[in-house]
Formats: sequence, C-alpha cells, structure tokens
Amino acid sequence: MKPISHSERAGWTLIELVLAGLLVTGVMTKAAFVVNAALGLASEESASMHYEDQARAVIERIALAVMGSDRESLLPQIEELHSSSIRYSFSLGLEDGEVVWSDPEEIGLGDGAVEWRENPGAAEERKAVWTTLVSPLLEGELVNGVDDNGNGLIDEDGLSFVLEGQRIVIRLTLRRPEVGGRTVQQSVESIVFCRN
Amino acid sequence: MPRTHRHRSPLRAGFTFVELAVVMTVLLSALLIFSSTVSGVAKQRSVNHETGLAVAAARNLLETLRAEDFGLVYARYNADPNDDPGGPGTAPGHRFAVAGLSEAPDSPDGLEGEIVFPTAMDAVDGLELREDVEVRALGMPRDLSGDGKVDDQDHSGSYFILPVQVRLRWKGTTGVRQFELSSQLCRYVKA
Repeated sequence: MKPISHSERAGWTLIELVLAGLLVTGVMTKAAFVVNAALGLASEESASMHYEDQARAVIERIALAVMGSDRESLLPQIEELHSSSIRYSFSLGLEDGEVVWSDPEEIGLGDGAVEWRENPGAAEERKAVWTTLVSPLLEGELVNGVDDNGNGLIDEDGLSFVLEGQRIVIRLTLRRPEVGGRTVQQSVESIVFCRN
Repeated sequence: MPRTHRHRSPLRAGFTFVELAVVMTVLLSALLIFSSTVSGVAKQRSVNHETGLAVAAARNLLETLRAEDFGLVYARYNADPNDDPGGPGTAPGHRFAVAGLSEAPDSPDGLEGEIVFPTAMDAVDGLELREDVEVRALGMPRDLSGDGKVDDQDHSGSYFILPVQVRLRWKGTTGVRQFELSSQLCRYVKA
C-alpha cells in the first residue's frame, strides 16, 4: 500500500499566517514600546543621578575647603549679596599659641568651570578645575533683574556664595545638553559654618 | 511488501500555534522581568535621590545651628515659642521644611524636618532642657552644665554642651521614610 502524500497540506494556511503575523507584530510592537520607554527612563535617570552625584561631590569639596577658614578673612565680605567666587585662607594649626594660616586660595566660576586657585594672581599660582559643567545661571534664574527662583537672590550665577551672618550658603547648578535635545540640570546647596 | 514506515515529512515542518504561543509566553515573561528590573532600578535611584536630599538638609541644618550664638541656640530652635529671644514666635522653632521631599501623612504641620533636644515637659514650668532624660541617640542622660552631676533641673540657661538630633520624616516612593543625624553643639572659641 502506498502511503498517502500530504505535500498538498504542508505549511500554514493563509488565515494561520495572517493570524500569526498579527500576533507577532502586536507582541513585538508592544515589546518595543516597553523596552524603549524603559531604556529612555533608565537613561534619563542615570544622567540625572550622575550629575547630581557630581554636583554633590563638587559642592562637598568647596564646603570642606571653606570650612577651615576664618569668617572675618573671607573675600568678598559683603553680606546677603551673591558672589561667584570666594577667597579664603584656612588654619593649618597652632604654633606658639598663634594660628598658622595657609596661603590664600580662591574658588570661583570661570568659563563654566569651578576653578580652585592657590596664591591667585601670584607667580606661583596653582590652579585646578573641579568641574566644567556649571550652568551660566542658577536653576530657574533668568537675566532680568528679578529673583525668578525665589531664593532671595537676583540673577545669580551657576555658582554662588552668600554670606549670611556666621554661615556661608553655597549654591551650584550643573547643566549639560544630552542627546535628543534634552538638558539635564542638577542643583545643590550647602551651608557651611567657618570653624576658625 | 511495500515499505510503510512513517517518517516526519517536511510537509509538517515549521511552527504550530501552540509552539508560537509558547514562544510568545517566554518572550513576554522575559519582557516582564526586564521591565520590572528597570522599574526596580528606577525606584532605587529615586530612593537614593531622596536620601541625598535628606542627608544634605540635615547637614545644612546642623551647620546653621553651629553658626548661631551658642547661648541662644536652644531657645531659638526648641519646641516652645514662648522662650524665643526676640519675643514669642519670632524664632525658627523646631520644625522646618525640606525642598524636594513630601511631608509624611502623620506630619502635624506639613513640614518634614524636626530638631530634637533632650527635653522634658514640666507641668508647671513647661519645656525644660534636662540632663536626666533617657534618649540613647543623644547620649542621654549626661551632664550638660559641666558641674559633674546629672540632675533633674532645667539647664536651658546653663548648658555648655548641647546634644541635638535632626530628624527628617517624609513620604517617599517606597513609603514613609525617616533619617536622623545626631551631633553635639558647643561654643567655638577662636584662638
């Protein structure tokens, strides 16, 4: 007996094919949306966290540098007004009952960078850049002579120092354009009491 | 005798609907695992962000307390507005707001932060700064006035060291969270 040939019944019918195609397309489209959304979110969160970490690291460095200084020796000395730089000397310890002060140092904003200088303006000046991502203005601020972000300061720079009594309020905004036209911006604030 | 052995003919090769359904299920499960991982990571990042804000706020507040006149810190930042140096209700008080954090549902005044001193409520004299209260986080009981004794008197005008705790309580992405930072304040004397 000759076996029956099924070659005429091989493969899928058109209906099966259409149904399978629709199913696969639907699932793959949904999957693509989910993956795309998840990756977008993760990328945005990553960038945001990265700049937040960087901003905190820089402001921590600034705060520690200024913390050991004498409040009365800071430059500028103007209360309640913001400045984009601060000059200070910190205590190296006591010698014969007298405080030994370090060489003058300055932390300031220059070309979108936080710059630290030792002996600023002198021949033996040393300089280090702590970040190059500083925003021209603090987050929420516009150059219009008005306090746009409600922090009591007008048109303050992306790095600002404010002397308030015995404390120094340091504010920093880092800003960077990302792919896709987005701009990631992170602001941090630190308050420091001068110990010496 | 004719050969009748069966073999799987190529005519039936390819996927059946059952196989397709199994593949789809596996694919969807993998996607589900992937998306839940990504969302978990995002949630963790959010938690880290909140923690960063809380730590910065607590440290900034401690620096603010250190910058105050040491003799007036307790009066200005305790829970009693009646002893404020500039008149009742003129000082910042013991509660404060933290930008970027949402108040906990049980917050009495919609604020997230609180400053805690070793105090006790006296029925007659009101809030007192005491050496004999049991607050482990503040290292209490202990001598606050420097007389070498731990007594039950009010030391709001005679402390030489002041234990303080900054406590933040907020509603985060994973529920109500709390952060506490303890320190001790003392008078800074310039050399």
